[in-house]
Amino acid sequence: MSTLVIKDLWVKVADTHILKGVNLTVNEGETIALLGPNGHGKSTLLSAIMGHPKYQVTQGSVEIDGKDVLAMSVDERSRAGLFLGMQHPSEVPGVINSDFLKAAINVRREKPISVIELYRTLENSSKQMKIALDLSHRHLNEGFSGGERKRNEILQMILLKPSIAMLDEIDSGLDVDALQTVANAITKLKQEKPQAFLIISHYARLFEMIPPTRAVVMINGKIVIEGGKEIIAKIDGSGYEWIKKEYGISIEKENREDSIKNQAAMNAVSIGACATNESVKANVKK
Amino acid sequence: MSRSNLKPFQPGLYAIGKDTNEPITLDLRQENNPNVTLTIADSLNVDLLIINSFEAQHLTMIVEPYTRLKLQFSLLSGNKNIHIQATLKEEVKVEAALADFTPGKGKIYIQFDLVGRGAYLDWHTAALATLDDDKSYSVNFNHTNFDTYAMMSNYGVTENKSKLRFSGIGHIVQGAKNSKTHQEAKIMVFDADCFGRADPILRIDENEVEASHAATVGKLNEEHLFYLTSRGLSQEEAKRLITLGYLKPIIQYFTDESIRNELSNIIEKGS
Repeated sequence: MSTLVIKDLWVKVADTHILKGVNLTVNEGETIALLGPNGHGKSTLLSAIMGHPKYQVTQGSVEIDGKDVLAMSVDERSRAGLFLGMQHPSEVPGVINSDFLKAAINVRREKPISVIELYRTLENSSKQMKIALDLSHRHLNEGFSGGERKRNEILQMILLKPSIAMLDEIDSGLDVDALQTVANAITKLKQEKPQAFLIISHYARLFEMIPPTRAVVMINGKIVIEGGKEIIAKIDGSGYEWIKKEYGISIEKENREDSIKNQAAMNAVSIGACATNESVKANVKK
Repeated sequence: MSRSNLKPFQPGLYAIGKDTNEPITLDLRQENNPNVTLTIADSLNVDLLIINSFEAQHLTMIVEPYTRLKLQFSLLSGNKNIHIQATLKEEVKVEAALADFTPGKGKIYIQFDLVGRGAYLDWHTAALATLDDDKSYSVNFNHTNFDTYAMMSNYGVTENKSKLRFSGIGHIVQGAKNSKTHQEAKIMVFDADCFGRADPILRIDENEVEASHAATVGKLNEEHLFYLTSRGLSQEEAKRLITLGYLKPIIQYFTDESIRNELSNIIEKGS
């Protein structure tokens, strides 16, 4: 039985508060759709729960089964049952994928996994995720396509069997078939073990494949609406404008100041002869 | 497969003269001559393991035409002032690897002269510098004939208060047309007090050639560490995995089982 309880969570990056008092409880067996416009703190919430060093918690609490998550190191959070499927999984040159998976499995076992068992496990999970088994012998995420990385995230989730899985735009960059593969894997996992999912996605399609039990909407760094599946359909059909009217919430624009600052900083950097200022600007605009 | 030990035919002089299926070991810890010369005859297939020499020993190798050589250097003791020069003649093909995971200080100088047309060399170094080690490796290739090829891959990890340097020159002389020389160096710097440096240098005096060099010296990336630890690995375990990734691939070039195990044990438990 696992429950994640987030109370009045305030989180800042550099000097700006992104989360301003988040309250959310995730119970075992639930699948929660975490919705909201870009730049309003959805990814920040998941990363802060996992303990990314960039995010600083200034107030509030996060507990898993009554234990203080914020006092744990990142690896302790993982071993306590939390998992974050990342939007942009890092390439880690030098680390062989299968060595990494073996180590991640072994920290959860008393006796280390045998070579044969590891091979079988990887073979099965690769097959399930439709990933070539070769990928497990390559460096972690290095040279993986966008779709392969996302599937590799889900493969890790299958192997680690977390009690609370947080998935950050796991469907972005996936084609329809790959999306189905990911959805099937999540459904299978739900059948095998009662666990909770907290899923960020901008696409109703994923939530058609994995029906959520609840939907929550995050605006201005807070959860402002909690409800059923009907919210997904409404947002999918008419965006976030209706929230303004129905709930009287003004939606802050994505923090422009930061992106302007970033652009100024990038332009100030010497970029040599390989790139021109213009091309950097063009990239920033994208 | 059992290995045969190479014995000198005169003090400091060694030769491999006939084709043998048995891999050969040259253990220079048994050789107290400061200058050692090894000649390998032509048209052979040789699997040669060289175990390191004592302080300031010079090893000269001559590889006669058409021979294929799998060359493995294992440095198993702390004395690391070693000088190796090898001459590769026409159509000689060498795959060479040097593994140095034992603590120590010293300078290792390696020079391959690709004097014969079509001489080919694929070189790999893997080095671990730990504690207060101070290790530098200079690996140099001289291309002096047509169609020669050399590839250098140097991988290293430096931690604690150690120093690790990779340097080397890939030189293609004028007239050595269609030669190719490539260099790649990567060093992982783990701690604030250690030092890593890579200087791959190219000297190209001929136009019709291919040449490239690349070097990366980097600290452990915060994002990488977050990624690995978010799957439950402790910081130490994450660090160990990264070390393994840098150093372990060298083992594939070693054919002797006991050396493979020894190298593997050092990296698995070391660092």
